[in-house]
Amino acid sequence: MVDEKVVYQKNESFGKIDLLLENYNEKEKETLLNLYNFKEIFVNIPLKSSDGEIKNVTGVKVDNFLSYNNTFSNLRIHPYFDINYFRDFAFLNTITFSLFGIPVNGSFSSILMDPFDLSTDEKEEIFKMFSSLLKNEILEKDIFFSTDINSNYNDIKIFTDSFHLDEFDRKKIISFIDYYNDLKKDIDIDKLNEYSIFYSILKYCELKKKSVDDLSVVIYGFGEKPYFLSKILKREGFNIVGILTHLGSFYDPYGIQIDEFYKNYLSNFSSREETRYKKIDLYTFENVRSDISIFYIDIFKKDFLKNINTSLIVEGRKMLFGEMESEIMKEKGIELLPSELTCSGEIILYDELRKNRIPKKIEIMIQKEIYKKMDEIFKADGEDVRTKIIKISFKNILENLS
Amino acid sequence: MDILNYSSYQSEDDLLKIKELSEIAQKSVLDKDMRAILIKPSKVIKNSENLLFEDKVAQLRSIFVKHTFLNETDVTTLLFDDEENFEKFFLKSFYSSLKYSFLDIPFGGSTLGFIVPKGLTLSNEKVKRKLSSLLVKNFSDILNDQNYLKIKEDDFEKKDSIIKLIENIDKPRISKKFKFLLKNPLRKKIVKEKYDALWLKSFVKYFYKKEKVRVIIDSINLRSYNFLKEILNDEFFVVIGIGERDYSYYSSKGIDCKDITFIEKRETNEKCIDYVDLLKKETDIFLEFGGENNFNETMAKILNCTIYCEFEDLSTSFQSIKILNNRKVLYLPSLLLDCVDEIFDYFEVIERKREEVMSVDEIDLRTETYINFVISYFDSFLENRQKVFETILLRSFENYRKKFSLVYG
Repeated sequence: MVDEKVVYQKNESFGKIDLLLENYNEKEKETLLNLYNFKEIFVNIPLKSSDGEIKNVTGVKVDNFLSYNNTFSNLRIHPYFDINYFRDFAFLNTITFSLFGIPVNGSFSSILMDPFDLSTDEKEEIFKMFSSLLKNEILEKDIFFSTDINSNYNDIKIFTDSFHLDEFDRKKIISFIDYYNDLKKDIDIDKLNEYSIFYSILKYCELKKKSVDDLSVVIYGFGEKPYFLSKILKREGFNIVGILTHLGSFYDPYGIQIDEFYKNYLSNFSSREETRYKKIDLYTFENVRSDISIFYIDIFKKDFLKNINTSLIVEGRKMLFGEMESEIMKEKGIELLPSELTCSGEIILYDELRKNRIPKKIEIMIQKEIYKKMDEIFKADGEDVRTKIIKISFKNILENLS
Repeated sequence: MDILNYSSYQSEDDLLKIKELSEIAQKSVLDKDMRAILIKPSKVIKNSENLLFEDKVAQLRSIFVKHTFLNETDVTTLLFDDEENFEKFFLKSFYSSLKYSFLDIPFGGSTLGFIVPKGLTLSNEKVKRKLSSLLVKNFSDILNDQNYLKIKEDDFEKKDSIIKLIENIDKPRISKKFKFLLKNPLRKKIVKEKYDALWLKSFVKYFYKKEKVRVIIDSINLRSYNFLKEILNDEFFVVIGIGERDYSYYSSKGIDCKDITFIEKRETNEKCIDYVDLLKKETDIFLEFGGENNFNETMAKILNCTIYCEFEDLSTSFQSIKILNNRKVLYLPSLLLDCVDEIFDYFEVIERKREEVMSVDEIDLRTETYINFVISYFDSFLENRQKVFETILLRSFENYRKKFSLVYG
């Protein structure tokens, strides 16, 4: 017999759920307990590497099992195994779907291998094996492997192409990818979540009655996605004052010229350029005052947060801040826009595709959904945004499953 | 932590078994690549269902372990346990794969274990509902393509509960398919113990040329009890003792029908002796049926027998086998002796394909063919009597090598 708190060995992010469950009656509790049901599939994929040796690669798929007909899974290549992390991720996907009232099981898939160790051929071989070993699970339900931060669109394409199925099954499984192919012509589908981050911030400012022009932003992370987000924020009038990169932290109180910065960064900066962009040490960077901090990386976590000087933290990708970090933010009076809300762009589009609708203007659609949801969240009871989100998600799950 | 790696095997004994098998595999024809595939499960699926029980949250779980993808057809053994024992489930599927391979049957082994925590009863309505839901969740994984399902439960009550569970699945398509696979026409018609006895007799005779052998049976469970009843009238076997830690029975002249009643009710009389004393009695063969107390080193040190017959998979520790070997006791492993079930799995599939029930004569003939086949294999490849286990493994692995080269060239 296990105790309630042990059923789901929580990692960090959703610790509060145990407490929240106490507010529901027995029948509701029974329903919500489905949230702790997981279906975990592990497959051993023998990979013949270029030197002829066979290595065993483990593939994992964790479904958060509510009894919905559709499942949505993110696919990543991970160098390490952490079942609690995978469960949390699947769970997070469920919460995000539920927040928007969409009846879809959250899921997370991972291939355990260092992505830098793999050649394209090897990746293709692994995806082929992974998909054939998971064929039954995939055929049983509509599953959609979304693009994700460290598995790019090409990986997904290889993955879906590797299904050796008859025409009908193939159509059923990869119809979403076909949509994606069509959509890719009009929109950069890797950046769907950047739109949801952007509109969450805009709406937050509107709800808090803050003028965008006065707000300074620091972005912790570097790459295609942060670049895209910086550009649209800049377009709206936000002042990007700091960027944390692999080469160091850069600060300019008058605003960093994003295009120029990225262009020079990619050619590894000359020392003259480093001075121009004011490369500062991390200790100083911690104390830089900003109104909004957007996080794409999680290397610092709680220690870094203790010194941070900001009013709002935005999760730029999933699974960044857990319970402990939330506590620190609460102590310091910093608000958090969690990824359940900010990284919902892909799932909003997925829901449209699921209903066989191809939106004409994806950006506008995401904006509309985010605004509507944020109005609801701000009206809801609860001490912080994440608690409010979980409450709304629970309410929707109870409605969906009743 | 990688659950598919050795490091996560929690039970030391099971870990040792895997390592030992791995070592044998290393010495055998298997190359490194094949070992990477064979000594690990190809697929593991875990499912969970939560329920509120007496104001607490209880969790029912299931684990499905498929040994290797190199086989197209799997026979899944369904069983119950009160705690999650991944190693045990993996080893079960691994062992049955090895047996099929040894006998040239084109199947692989897999296991579907249901974990019902202590304190929950199978008769509870909520538990039944959740178990049924777990069955449905596993449906697509175990019953795809050419797979078959069997229930290996010595406990009749549990077996009945599973059958009822399957009958009560509210999805007709799934229930029908499950029922189809559980028809077991063969097993209803024949007494499996008869063939177990025939199988055992053939190999004991092969290694020990005697007209009559004295037998001591370890563990009193449904299977050993039925086996005892079956061999009671067989002139070859004279069962002089049966027992386990709490109850042991010994008769130097051989147990007869009257004794059976006492044993069944576990009644005490002058023939009941101490368990350790029973182990020390001189006998020709010692039959291990597993049960609650597995065969350990202490037992191996005091045993006074010529042949040690392992009749249940994973019931003997590797250290005990080493001790038996040092004491020059012949060890016949379960990979050889507990094969009848696997052979019958194959017969059933033939029956299904032919859509015709096999006659008893045909079953007898086919079983005999298998016996002759194994004997002729031993005639050609068994170097010495102490190497039965290794010789069987070599053959099993050799078959996998062929399958492997078909896939990987």
